[in-house]
Amino acid sequence: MYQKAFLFNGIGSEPERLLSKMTKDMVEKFKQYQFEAFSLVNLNTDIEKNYPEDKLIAKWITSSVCDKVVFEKFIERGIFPDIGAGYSSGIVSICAAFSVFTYEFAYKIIMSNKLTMNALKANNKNLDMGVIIGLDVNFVRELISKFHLENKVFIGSINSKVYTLITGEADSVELLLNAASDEGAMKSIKMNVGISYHCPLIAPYCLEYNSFCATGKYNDPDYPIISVYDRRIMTSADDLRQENCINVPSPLRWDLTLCRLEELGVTEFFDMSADCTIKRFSRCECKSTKIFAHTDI
Amino acid sequence: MRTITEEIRNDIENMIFDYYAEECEVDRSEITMQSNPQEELGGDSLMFVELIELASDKYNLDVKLQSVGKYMLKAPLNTMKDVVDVFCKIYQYGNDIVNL
Repeated sequence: MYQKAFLFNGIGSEPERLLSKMTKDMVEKFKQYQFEAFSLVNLNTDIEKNYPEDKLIAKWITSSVCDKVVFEKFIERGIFPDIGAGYSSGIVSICAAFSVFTYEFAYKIIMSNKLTMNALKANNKNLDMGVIIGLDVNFVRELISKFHLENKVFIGSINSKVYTLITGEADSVELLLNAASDEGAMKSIKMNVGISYHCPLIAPYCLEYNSFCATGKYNDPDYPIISVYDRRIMTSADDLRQENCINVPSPLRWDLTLCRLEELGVTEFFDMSADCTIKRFSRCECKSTKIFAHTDI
Repeated sequence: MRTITEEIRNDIENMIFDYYAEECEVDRSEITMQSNPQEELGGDSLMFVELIELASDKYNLDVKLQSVGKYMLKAPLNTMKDVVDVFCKIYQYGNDIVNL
């Protein structure tokens, strides 16, 4: 039933890296879209000229704008999705690309992360995220238990059997990352974003964000979208509204999402990230399915 | 411990250089033993993980990533020569690399 799956990335890529793999035409398109997006939410297109608290948001919107450019490149080449998935905040980008809501609303959703950041700041909550590459996820769980961090650090996403996103209290995240490094992780690095997505600790502080997500006009998607939380196939506006509202505090399973897509018959994945990140971190999990990035077409 | 011959070492070196050239979109001839795999070629830990899996399949190796990771705490990968050396060690010692 489904053959081609479009995969949208979340936050985390640096703008320079995103643009480095784009063709000249894509960069021109990006500049136009970025100008429109940043004007809408009152950000300076020179990211460094924004207020410190806005710089992260500017990078995240830049990432979503790049996804739009890449998505349009695939469509222009006659490659259309049968289904899609959004990794983390990639749910916002995929909803815009699949006409669930407008790109304008998508950028406003990303901007409204500031509401969560402000709530965390007002309550002196120091949260963060990190990635651990090269350790089995069960071993990461053992480390969490060993250091009694069960109520402080959580597994935000299992991206593959050896790539785990951790999320929680900043000090505890750092402690776990150092322990992982000592135990032989190939990479254990703090994201330094001051926020902990896919973590129950953030739930009381993202209520305004969730309310904002819920207020927009949602349409049924042009193509089905699979939930990264429970792997159900979403085809209605209400499904997608709910998915956006639970995105921030809920842990996700990217590995199981890819497996489910393969079970559903998907034979080709298409990476919508400009820096080919999805391809790089997904192919460890799905070796039998081809993954194409925009640089491959 | 497995014995490593000059032929196998060359084979490992070719596998690694070909992989980095393709993944980092760099001309194969531009990669030298002195190239820095991260800063000069743009390689990353996910690539290294994939390369270990490739080598495991190709040479029928039984090695845990964590064992290699612990070894790398003592022998960081600053040059392509370091990368080739660690893969030769993986070939020779498998999981026992952690005890070196």
